[in-house]
Amino acid sequence: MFQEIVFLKGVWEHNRSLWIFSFPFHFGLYLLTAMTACLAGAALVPDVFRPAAWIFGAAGYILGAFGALGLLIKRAFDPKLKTFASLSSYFNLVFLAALFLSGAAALFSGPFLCQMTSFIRAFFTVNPGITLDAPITAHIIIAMLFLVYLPFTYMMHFVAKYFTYHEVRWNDEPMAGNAAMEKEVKQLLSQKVTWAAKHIGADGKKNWVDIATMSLPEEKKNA
Amino acid sequence: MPKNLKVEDFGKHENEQLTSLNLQDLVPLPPPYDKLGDQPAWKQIKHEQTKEMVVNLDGVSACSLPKPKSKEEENELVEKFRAGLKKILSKQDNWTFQQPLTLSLDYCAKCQTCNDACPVYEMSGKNDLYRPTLRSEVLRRLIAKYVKKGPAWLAKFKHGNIDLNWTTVSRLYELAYRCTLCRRCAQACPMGVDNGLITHELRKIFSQELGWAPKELHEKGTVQQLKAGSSTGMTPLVVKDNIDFIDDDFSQETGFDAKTPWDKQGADILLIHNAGEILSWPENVAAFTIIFNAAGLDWTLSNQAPSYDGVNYGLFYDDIQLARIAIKHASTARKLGVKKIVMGECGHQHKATITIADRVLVGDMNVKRESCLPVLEKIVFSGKIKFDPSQNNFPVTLHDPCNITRNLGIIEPQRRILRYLCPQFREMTPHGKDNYCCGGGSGFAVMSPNNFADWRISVGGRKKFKQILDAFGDRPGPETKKYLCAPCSNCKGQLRDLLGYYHAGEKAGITYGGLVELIVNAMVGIKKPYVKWE
Repeated sequence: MFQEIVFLKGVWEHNRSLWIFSFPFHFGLYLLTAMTACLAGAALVPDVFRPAAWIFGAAGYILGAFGALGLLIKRAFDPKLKTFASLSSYFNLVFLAALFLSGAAALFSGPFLCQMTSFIRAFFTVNPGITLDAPITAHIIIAMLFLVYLPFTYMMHFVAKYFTYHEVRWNDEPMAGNAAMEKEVKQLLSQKVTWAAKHIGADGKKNWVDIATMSLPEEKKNA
Repeated sequence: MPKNLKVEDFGKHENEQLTSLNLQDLVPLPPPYDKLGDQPAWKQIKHEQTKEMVVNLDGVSACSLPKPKSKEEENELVEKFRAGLKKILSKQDNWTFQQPLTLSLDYCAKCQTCNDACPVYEMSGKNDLYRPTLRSEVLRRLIAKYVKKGPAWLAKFKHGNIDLNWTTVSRLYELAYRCTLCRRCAQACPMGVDNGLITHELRKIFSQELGWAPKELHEKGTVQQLKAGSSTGMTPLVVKDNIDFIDDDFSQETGFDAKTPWDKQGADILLIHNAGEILSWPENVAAFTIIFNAAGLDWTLSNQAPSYDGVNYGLFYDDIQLARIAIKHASTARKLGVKKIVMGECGHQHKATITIADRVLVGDMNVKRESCLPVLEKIVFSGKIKFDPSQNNFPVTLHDPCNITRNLGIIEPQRRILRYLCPQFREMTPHGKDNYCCGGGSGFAVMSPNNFADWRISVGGRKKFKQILDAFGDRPGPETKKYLCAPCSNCKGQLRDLLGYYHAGEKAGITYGGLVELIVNAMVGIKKPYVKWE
């Protein structure tokens, strides 16, 4: 799972032309997460964390911007992807490209590290009296809007991945010896069945156990 | 061949096919099958049939869906489908698979990474209709627009557009039977999204809400099994007669004890075969008996309906039919007081009985269940039976049944046996968990209505046939007799049709069979070779 999450191993093996953009895009996001952590750390130990934050930030914004723009172009012109793209697919990538590009502009145009550290300190101490340069302000607004928007999108897949990658696909944990699971399954089996096909024989009263153990209802010939 | 099929077109142009297939569009096969003219022509659906039957997808009909008699009937069916859509997402109605379904619907990144893992899509010449993501995307859009709460513009913004109408419903039904549920796409997905599962859930809507399923799986499958005792139609009396005959015949032929014990109380093992073996491959049934007896196992078959037939087609289309059959199997095992149920060489039986049924077998119904493959491995390496591997000195390759390998992770036992007993064993590429489906998965092996057999062999089984030819590529001619080992009854059904379709016995010298036949063939003291080449 580590290789899958960090290096997108599956995409590398099965979809190399997408990986060229997808990997830098995702790795850029990871680096920006590391940069944010370093910026928080810089509030306490500036000499140690600021250089690391700058390196993570510069690499993260550049890689992320390259990946986001590449994915946007690929999504728009690759027939394989275009067919399945919705307006939100493009909107999400434009949003992310704006996030990376505004971050890069802020980082390379002024006292980014100093002002970001100040902003983080002000944010956690609820201090509104902070003054920031325009590029940094724009970047922070875009980043905040993105964080609000994120939970409403399929981009939450980075959380889902922990649950889906192994657990959903291949988790066949046996029930024998698992009292908690058996208790839950018994409760689920006691639910009423409402499926309407005749061969099911549901009448609004029978539960799963009744349905699964009853004689097969007579039915007309199916399609 | 139409490429760049748009998802939103799925519900448009009711009476037109969305795509058409031609032999020249398919990925070419290696010699001696590289000349298009030598390949059998496909059966076409007659114009008269299309007056009564829906043929609006790819010119193939697996489901023989009759056309509704009126607009009212159409609307009623569409509304039923919509009701089914809601139920499939509800924990009460679909507690079995609702969670992985929801995750698979919600978190697909639409990256299409899974596409090339699908043998149907690849071998069709990358026809857009067969993308593993297409039917999932149609379903996803339908749910967003017609089931989930929220404004229509938001659903369109997030997912794109689709219309729920008779055309969409009828095409989705047929398209649900163009996927073998091999789950190779799920294995390739970087997110763990399972498009095979989505197809399975789609089939459930049709069966459990609308009462639609291919008759080979439902009427002649689970219903016949629950009523008569077997999807073959064999009653307890008939099955006992047949196996008595097999016992006598193979005892004489091999010189080994092939007497089957029946309904033995307290036995260690209740062996359940796919009953199709009894009728089509009796040598497989006899081989199990010979091996188990020679190893001195305490085992039994059951003559209680339906516990002499391990088939459970409910796995492919209907959770309730699956549960009904699985409960009867477990009930027989409990009554007999056996220590465990052992699955014969049948992949879907493994998956249905070992894992899926686990969630309905509570209390003492949860009898221990095991694959025959590790049991056979223990026997072969126990020293209880003497073997002479030189009796198997011919090229052998192994087909991995998806349900046994990818879905259950049983990879090595069968290989250790083959490496030991077959000097010329060679792997297919790829194999194990990365195997390709035979093309008969998800019930296709028993489905041949209309022109569907042409599709399942030419398209569905094409990748497997290519793999088989490549595995024997060093000795392609018919003068070298070659054995394709397929430890799965449904796979054998498909491979029989596949090899027959291409006359692979005559042209390439390939025959097929199970694993146990090779084990018996290597037993010291056998009167004559067990593997037959004619």
